[in-house]
Amino acid sequence: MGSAIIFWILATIAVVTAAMTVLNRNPVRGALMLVAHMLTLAVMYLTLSAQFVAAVQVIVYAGAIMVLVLFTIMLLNLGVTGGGIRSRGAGFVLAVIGALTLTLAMVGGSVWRHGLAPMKATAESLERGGTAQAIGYALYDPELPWLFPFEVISLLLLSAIVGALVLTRRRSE
Amino acid sequence: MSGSSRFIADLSALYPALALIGASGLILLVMPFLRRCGGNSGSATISGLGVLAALALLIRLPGEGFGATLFAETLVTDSLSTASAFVLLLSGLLAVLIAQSYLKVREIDEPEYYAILLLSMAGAYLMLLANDLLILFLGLELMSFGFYAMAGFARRDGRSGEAALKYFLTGAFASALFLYGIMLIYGVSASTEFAKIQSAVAHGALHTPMGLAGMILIIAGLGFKVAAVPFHQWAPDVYEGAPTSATAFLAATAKIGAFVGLIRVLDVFAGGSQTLIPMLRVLAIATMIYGNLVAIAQTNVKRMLGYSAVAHAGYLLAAMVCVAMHYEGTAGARTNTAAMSASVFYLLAYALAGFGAFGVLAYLSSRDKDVQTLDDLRGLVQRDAPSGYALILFMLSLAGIPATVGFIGKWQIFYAVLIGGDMTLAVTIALTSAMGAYYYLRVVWYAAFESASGPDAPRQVGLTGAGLTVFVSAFATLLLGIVPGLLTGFLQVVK
Repeated sequence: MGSAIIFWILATIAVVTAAMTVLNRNPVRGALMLVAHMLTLAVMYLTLSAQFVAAVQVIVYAGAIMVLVLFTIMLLNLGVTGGGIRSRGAGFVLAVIGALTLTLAMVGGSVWRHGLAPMKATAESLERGGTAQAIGYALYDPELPWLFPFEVISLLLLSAIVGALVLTRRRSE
Repeated sequence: MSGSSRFIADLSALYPALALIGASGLILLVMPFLRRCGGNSGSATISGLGVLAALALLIRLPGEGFGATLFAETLVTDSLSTASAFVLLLSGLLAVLIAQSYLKVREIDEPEYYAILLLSMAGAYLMLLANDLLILFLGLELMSFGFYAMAGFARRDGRSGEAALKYFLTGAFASALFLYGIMLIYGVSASTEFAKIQSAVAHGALHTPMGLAGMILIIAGLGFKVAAVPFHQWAPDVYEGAPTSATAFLAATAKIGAFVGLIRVLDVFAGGSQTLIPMLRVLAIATMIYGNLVAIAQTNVKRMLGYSAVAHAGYLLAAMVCVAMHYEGTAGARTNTAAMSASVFYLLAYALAGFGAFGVLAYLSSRDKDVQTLDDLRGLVQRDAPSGYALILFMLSLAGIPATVGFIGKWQIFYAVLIGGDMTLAVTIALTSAMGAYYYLRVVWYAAFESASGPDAPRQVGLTGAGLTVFVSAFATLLLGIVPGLLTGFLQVVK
């Protein structure tokens, strides 16, 4: 019961902060709301005993990526584009309809599968645990389908680095 | 066999892709040091040899491994993957040839272009073998990253940068949709493996809103890469702005990777949802009509070929409807083999005609003049007869006129749709092909019957890489158009 209460509290915070990220006209406030959202997600991962994912969520998303986002906002010197929450125009209506449809799809899907109770960590995942060690063993085990994709990602990064260098490099002449 | 030694053994099925990756690494490591001692033809040579080695390794792949899954079920090798890999590597070879002279003429010849091209091909190669949504996604991304960088390679040209940025932003959005779809499918099946998703689909996973949304998003992500309406907006701008050699490459490669990926995904989803086939049919019809209709108004040949790429995606989507019908079991086994091998043959036909047409544009381009408008082609037959006649041949092939490979490809798809019993699609194919003939024949008219407007800009003459591309494509277009039986044995895709 206690975990269910915690889940609903976290879920409310996550949804509200996510909505504030999109609706806020001040980009810096939007970015900070996104940080709050990411941190809430990290706590949710912890309640599912996925410690490693929770830590990565904080370090990579709430930390590194959000710093980058804030840097970009400040470099571009984006000001507030008007007061309060954006709420006019057909685009807004469409966005709301789209968001509601997707939400219904997600909620409907998980209710169909699991009923109304919030998701809990399964006995199996609790036993293996979400530690860095357990994930490391799973990631590098050639019997499991994660090792090969992991290797492919290194190529993806190489391609991204070379591409970014080519596009941003000044001409040598 | 222990896990790690099986991992090593499984690598042997990936030798062609490893050859591409190895050549790419070699270029990145060696060429920056060799650039000072003259020229950059080394990169083109290395990548050409790399693709040739990949082709040789593909042909020598042991036959008994067919249908086997590799790397803990993440990859599969079968006749579909081998046949489409053959088409992919063949078009890769043409892409290297066309780049060899075009980049030099436009003075953007840098070794990174070839390194990115080879990595991008390796990504498409992975898509052909994908047996897991994760691999399909990674292959798609590896392929697309190369496209983004290659589209923006002509940094002196503002339109090239615009093309790269537009392609990157819309492509990243499409990738996000695709990834979101994978997540939703994972939500209903607890796996990204095709076999496990398939068994979840058999238990009604796609009847949930979540599964349905996942399926639609995944098909939308792939539809974006092939420029299916309504995900086509990027295509004309990117085709026009990207360097001609990159346009030719991405036109062919994106279609090969994404359509074979779509065939695999349809195998997984078919039968699980009543929405699938009607959705594909609407996509196919809209894509055929829109692409052909808007292409009529274009005066820039590269842009026109961009809309034509949309139209050709429509014809291939029509074949996908038959593939899905087969997997659902609503059509006979004959439809399947007809539709699947028709798709692979069509991909080959489109690649040949596309490389040929872009090859002519690249061949005619010079440092200050990137040939791409109808006016540039005025009186081409009088000015430069071989390239003029070749261009006419490729336009006829794209339009699907008999005695070219384009006709055989289109006829095979039409035939597959007919035995699938879908009259609406068949009529749309016939009508839009007639519409398409108009704008292809207009290029023929400009090249053959208008008189040249001014003196030629000075350009490279003799047998350049682009010239060789044109020659090879023209030869294959005619040969396969007259004797299509040559490849039926190889492209027979039975599953």
